[in-house]
Amino acid sequence: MIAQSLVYQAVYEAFSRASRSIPRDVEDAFLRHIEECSTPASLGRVHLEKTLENVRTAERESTLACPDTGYPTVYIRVGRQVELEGGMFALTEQVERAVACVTAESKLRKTMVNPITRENPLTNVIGGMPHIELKFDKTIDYLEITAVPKGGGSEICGTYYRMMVPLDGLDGIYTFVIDSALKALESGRSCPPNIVGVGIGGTADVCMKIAKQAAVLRPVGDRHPDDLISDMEKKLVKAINALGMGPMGTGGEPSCFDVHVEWAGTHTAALPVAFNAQCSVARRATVRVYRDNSIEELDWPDWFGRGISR
Amino acid sequence: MKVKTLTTPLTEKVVRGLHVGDVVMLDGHIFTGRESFYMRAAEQSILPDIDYDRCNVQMHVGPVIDETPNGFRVVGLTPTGSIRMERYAAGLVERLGTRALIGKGAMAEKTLRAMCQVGCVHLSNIGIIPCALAHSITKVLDVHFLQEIGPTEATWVFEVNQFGPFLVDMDTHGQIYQDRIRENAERLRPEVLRRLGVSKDFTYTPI
Repeated sequence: MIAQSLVYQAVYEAFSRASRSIPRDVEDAFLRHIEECSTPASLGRVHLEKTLENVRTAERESTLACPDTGYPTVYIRVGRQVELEGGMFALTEQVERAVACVTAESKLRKTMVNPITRENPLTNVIGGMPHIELKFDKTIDYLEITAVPKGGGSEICGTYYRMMVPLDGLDGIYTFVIDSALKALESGRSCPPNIVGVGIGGTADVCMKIAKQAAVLRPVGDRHPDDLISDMEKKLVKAINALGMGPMGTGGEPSCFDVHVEWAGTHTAALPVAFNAQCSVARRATVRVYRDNSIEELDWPDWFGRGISR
Repeated sequence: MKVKTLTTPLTEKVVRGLHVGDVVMLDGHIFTGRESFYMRAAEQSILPDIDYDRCNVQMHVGPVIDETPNGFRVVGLTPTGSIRMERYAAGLVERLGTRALIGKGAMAEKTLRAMCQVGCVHLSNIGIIPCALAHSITKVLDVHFLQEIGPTEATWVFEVNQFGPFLVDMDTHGQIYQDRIRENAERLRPEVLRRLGVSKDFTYTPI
């Protein structure tokens, strides 16, 4: 039986860590691209160097890697044998409590408002926020909790959806992704270099969900196990970077750190496709809570339950 | 990177001497304002009581600021996307005589026209540097509407020292820095799609 207090602690820790730092895979991506940058004084390289330097300061001073801590989103993978003190609803209660607490401590900005009245409860707990996504997995026996404070730039200016028909095929998918990237990268609105998630299939809502999961939960460098999909991922990384929009949209490379593609079963008459960009300060932190009430801190989850190929 | 330091209040002459691609730091006073600032100003004529002739640089930002027993502590701030303010920014630039808007990424035609006419530039962040920007705020001088709209949307007035660096990406000569980046990408688009194997005459089925 997992104690409720441990769930609270895990969510609290995950948001605290996510808000002040970037995961190891994202830091590696910064370092690799700073090194590969051919012109030392280029604006793109300065963007990367300054952003990375800032993240290190934030971690050292325990402040914010980026003040737009955005939408508080929590992804929880639940193992088969996991039992929770007080029942599964305790997940919702403890996530809300932890988010309100980290918000009060200024580790999350007071950002979530009523969309119509614009009223702000100053807690980030309002109308379905924090957002929790659950996934059940018979192969694990722990809770895997990932906190993703997703910034507004990438969510407001980096999300696109199109319902196509099967005859639009790969041509349609690639055209949609490239045109979405052009819009997301414009003037650095989505805070590039992005980690781009592409969802193909499902219903309209499932399509966008898997696109977002691909963007925010898979580490940079992770390749899809299916050769057909990983080939698309590699081609799209090259293609998006070939547009030359660059860090913060001021030209050069890279425009994206990676592209992750996910698919879901869909209607025989449908070909939905979604694009979801994660910003360069791609914050995420994962905590596993085991049934013996021990916890483990990780840089990324295994959300899709097939291991990480990084 | 050659950097110029500008001291506020900015004069029209200094601002008209700036060109896209210039990199600047700021010394002096700035105020903040984002969606609520524009909505309240444009729709309800509610403006923070600020001497806009002396404080003529506006930053689009939602800072994180703690209220402590010793006063306000700025935790971090980074400019927010300016394009979202496009509907009302031109009117406010004209009305207040703003000399610089600080934000993330350039705005559109309407604001550009007002900037050329009034003598105002747009400055974008270089890197995402909330810690450095917070360290460059030497004093929180005032805050307006904190109770009404909360700390993220409130108008803060800061004293800053070596605040930046920022890229001039819209100037008074009608130039937008990112235009040539977008035009270049649009020129490359057909070749990028061709290399992905997309047929030249592809169009979506009109459903």
